[in-house]
Amino acid sequence: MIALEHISKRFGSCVALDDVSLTLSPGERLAVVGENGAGKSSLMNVLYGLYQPDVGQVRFGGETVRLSSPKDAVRRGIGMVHQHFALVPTLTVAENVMLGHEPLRRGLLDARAAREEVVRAAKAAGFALDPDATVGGLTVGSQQKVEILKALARGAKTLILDEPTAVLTPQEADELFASARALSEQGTSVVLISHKLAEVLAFATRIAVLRRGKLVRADLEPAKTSPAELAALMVGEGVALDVPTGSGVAAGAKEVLRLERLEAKGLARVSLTVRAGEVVGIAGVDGNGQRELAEVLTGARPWTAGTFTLLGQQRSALTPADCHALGIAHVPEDRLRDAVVKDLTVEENVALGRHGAAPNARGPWVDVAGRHANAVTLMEASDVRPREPLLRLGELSGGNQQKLVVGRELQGTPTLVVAVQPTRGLDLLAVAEVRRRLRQVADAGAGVLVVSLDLDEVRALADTIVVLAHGRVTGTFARGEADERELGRRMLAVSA
Amino acid sequence: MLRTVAACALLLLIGCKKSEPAVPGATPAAAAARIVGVVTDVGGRGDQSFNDSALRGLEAWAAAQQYQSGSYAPLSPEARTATIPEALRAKVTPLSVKPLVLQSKSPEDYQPNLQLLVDQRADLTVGVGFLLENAVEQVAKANPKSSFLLIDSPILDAQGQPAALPNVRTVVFREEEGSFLAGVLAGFAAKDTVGFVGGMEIPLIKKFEAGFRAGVKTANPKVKVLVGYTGSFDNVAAGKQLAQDQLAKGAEVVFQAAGSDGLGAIQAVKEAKAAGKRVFAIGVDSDQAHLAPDAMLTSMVKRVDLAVYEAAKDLSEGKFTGGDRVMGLKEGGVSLAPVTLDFEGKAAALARVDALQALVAQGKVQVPANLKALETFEPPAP
Amino acid sequence: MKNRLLAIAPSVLAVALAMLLGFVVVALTKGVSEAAGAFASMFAGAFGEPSRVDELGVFAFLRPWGESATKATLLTLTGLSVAVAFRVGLFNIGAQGQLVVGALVAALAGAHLALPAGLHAVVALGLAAVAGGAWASLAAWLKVRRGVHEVISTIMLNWVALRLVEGWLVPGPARAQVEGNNSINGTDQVLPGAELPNLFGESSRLNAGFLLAVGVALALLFFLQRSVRGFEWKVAGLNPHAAKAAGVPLERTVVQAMAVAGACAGLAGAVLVLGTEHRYPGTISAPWGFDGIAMALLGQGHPLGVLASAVWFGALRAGGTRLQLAGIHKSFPELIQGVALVLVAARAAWERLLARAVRRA
Repeated sequence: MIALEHISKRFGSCVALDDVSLTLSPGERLAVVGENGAGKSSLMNVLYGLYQPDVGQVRFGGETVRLSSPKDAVRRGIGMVHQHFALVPTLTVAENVMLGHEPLRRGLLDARAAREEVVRAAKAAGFALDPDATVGGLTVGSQQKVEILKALARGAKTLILDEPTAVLTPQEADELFASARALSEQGTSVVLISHKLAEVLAFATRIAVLRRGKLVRADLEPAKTSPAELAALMVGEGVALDVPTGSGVAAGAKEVLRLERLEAKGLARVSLTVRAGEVVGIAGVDGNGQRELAEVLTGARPWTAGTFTLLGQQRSALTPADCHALGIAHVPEDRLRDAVVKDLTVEENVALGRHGAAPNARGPWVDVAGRHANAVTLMEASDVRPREPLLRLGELSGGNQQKLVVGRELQGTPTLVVAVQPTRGLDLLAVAEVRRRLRQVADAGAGVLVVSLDLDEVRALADTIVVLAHGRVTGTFARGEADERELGRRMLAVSA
Repeated sequence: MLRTVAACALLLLIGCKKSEPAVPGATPAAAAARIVGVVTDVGGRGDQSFNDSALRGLEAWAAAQQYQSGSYAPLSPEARTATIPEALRAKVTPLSVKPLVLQSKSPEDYQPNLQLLVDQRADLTVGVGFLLENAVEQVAKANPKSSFLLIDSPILDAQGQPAALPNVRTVVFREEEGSFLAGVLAGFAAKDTVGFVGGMEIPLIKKFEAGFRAGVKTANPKVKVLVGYTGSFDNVAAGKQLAQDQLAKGAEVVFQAAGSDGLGAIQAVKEAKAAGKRVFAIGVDSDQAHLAPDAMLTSMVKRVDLAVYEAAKDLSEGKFTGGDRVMGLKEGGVSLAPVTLDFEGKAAALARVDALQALVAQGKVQVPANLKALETFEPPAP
Repeated sequence: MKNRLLAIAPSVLAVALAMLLGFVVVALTKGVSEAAGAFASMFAGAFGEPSRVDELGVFAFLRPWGESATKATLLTLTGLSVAVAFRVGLFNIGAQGQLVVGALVAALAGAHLALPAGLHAVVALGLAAVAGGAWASLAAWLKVRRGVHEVISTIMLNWVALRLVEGWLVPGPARAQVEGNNSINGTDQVLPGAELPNLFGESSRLNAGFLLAVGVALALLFFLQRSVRGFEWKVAGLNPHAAKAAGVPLERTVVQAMAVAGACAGLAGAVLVLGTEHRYPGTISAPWGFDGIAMALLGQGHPLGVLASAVWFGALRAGGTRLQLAGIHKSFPELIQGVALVLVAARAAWERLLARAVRRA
């Protein structure tokens, strides 16, 4: 029995956790849900010894314990699987699992004992893993299992899974939850941090909801609640989260983009079309050509063969400057790398890309007043907070940065929108807002291409779903034409 | 910033116009001790050559002081006397002067350093070396009431013509005369080949070459002179390489007039000597015998110390005047350092050197100062 | 305003601390009163001597200012050269070479062109700027076309410039022609019409070059902060990926910024020649171009910051000449500059230390 009692934690003026108390029983599967910044991660970091609470205490079976580092937490049987794995790709599964607490024999590594221990642990957890396989060659789902094995091998009685399915295919997610369920039935407690309400409801035995650092509910039973209730608890009541499905593509709508048998580094014979008013969703497991496709469409990657037709004109090459001229809007995957500059002000970032034209410039000179006014307008329209155009962009939260990027890119009348993971890291409200905006520009006549690793997002947004695997198109479906299973098979390029 | 500066300047101009209209120069020193400033070239203190020679003339000879880690200490009479060559000991007496020395980090420092010494009320400011010609000219023009001494070059105008200033004494040396004697000695010491290692190929160094070749020809017309220039004054390796090249071609005596490059040349000779060859080096500016005691035949000494001392003496006696001076064998401005090594026919050689020195001092032999004059030079009959 | 004060605080504190350390070292070796005297004479040499107004009149100030400004001018221009390149994310280690090339071109143009006075100086300055810019563009071209890192190429080009100019041209073909047995070190003297005029006559070397340096700093400030191109440079320097995505032509930006950087350094060389030396001296052995790196870092890449550090260290150097008279080594001001630089560079380290101390308290 682990108890977090009256935990409070502040960072400067920001209250991350405000008097949160939560218990965890052996064998329990607790889901902690909440918006970004609600305090889920902070709470788990307290439990894992990464943060020390300002107020409150952590008790293990009645004993008050000071966790001053993850080492202490591991000693108490806490294991955490982060979103980003900490594996050495060139080592084998067994080596990765034993790394850091290798069994020794006369001062030397006992490789055989290590391997046997890993095999035993994998068997106990029900994982089918080859202990001698190199980790770099494993699928993401298998790598995650290695991470879990690492935690178990260190004696974890409590397993914290932080957004574990963000990088998995539906099949892999199912497998993960099956394994986790099996572990919990053997007595391991599992804490699942997620914002995917469907998987939370399917997996957890109890759900706790955090909102702005406060614990709203700790006792929700999955059977007696609904996604709508959870969402309302997370966001606050009376907030609209649904995204209207579009009016559909008008018959005979003109083609904004047509790719035929396009070849580029990382892409093979890609054919697809985007029509005016259409949202095309690109589904696929990370690293299967989505980034390359987005780069080709935004002038960052040349293609070597095939035809590229934009607005009825065949093109042989495309530069970022062309894209701006042609009205191709780009919401990149990594905004801090490709879309904004952290050390510039918000208003300079709003101007970026259109910085050489009115209202941001007059002739060769920056129009400071015009730029400021434009930024104020955009921040208002896209609800970017705080409304301080002269703030350094890096001081905005990730969600507000993304709202700014989306707002900026959809300004004016784009002809084609290329949005890569446009809602990654956003909270429910912001996700809904971004999706609404994408739908809006489509309805206004733009072609929209959304790349997302979140299959639910693709299914919610897209009129047409194109599945990419290994850089090839492995399926094209109209809305509602394929179910999750079918899409998952295509994503793994497994024939039905 | 700029506006403030300009405003202050304006205020000061208005405020001070009446009281001090004249450009400030050196004020006449009330105290007995006259201040003599020296600005070294970038070689600086410790170059064992030119700059040290000038500083010796001022600090040891004139002021009887010794510079040690940032300050001056009195120099004992014995130690002082030891720095003065015997011939000059009677003439060089201690003076009541105070030395003020500034070293230069780069050529851009020459002008501000000279000006600073003037502002520090130096009665005489010495620029050591022809590199300071331009700077001395500018500062002397700006401070017409101060006195200056420039070593090794007259004041030249933009076209390179001598353009004397009333408050500047310039001293140039007849290096060709000293080099001539060095050449005579080399011509006796060698059997068929000698070498000349020059620094930058400039008229000043050509004087050394011309005099040296004239001397060799006078001693023994059959001895061949190998001539090479390194093109610099600060590249020891280049000097060494050039000297090694000449030694390989059979040079038995190498005369260097190449600044730091010459140190490399001496090193090359020293190494050849250690390897068993019968070779000699001839140093320049100061007596460089200590650099290669086994191989140094002599050095062509330029008495920069004497030039500085004489200026300081004139100053303290109130006799300092401007004008261009030339110091040759006659004036004691150049000389050969004592010959301590033995070689076959040394006595005859030294006798001949002495005889020729007298002839040159009496003006009976004109030593060529450039290559053109060398062509028409006829060696005096023995 | 408060933010701006906070931003410059590290540089100011570093310089102050370096000065203090310098004082302590001198006080320990020579005694406190000697150290105080030495520093007083250094400041007198830098900013003026009120005690000698009676004797020297206005020149008790103007002469030290002239020396300070002469050095500050060169430091400003080379500092701007480094700062401008840094704005687009490039390290211009080649300001020295660009300066040398600019100085030679200015010396030749000043001595051998026949133009009306005034215009002659402007043309010589312009040609020097073009030459310095072209020299720097070589490094940019190598980077853009062949992928050679600019740190490597600019360092190499320093040596090429030095050997070319001081190893061959100045002692060789461009050497001043002198008749007779005399020698002049360096190139022909520039004509009077090409000289930068002294602002207060012969007794102070404060010349128009300082105004030029201030003008260049202000122009660059305006360009970088108010022009579209300047904005693009900033974006390219802070985040080249985002700049590319925003349609900024990165390669062109690199070449242009490097050219401007080289032009600044070339101007520094021209001011040296036309303002004070009046010919290319045999060598320019002071490392103005490398000092520019220090100025850019201490000035945090901001044109006014560069100007401020250059004025301060220019003054210290001018005054530092007098330290020799107090028996302190001639390179003392450079030592202070070096210590200040280390302190600024170590800023991150002591910010962390401070933060830890605050947390403990």
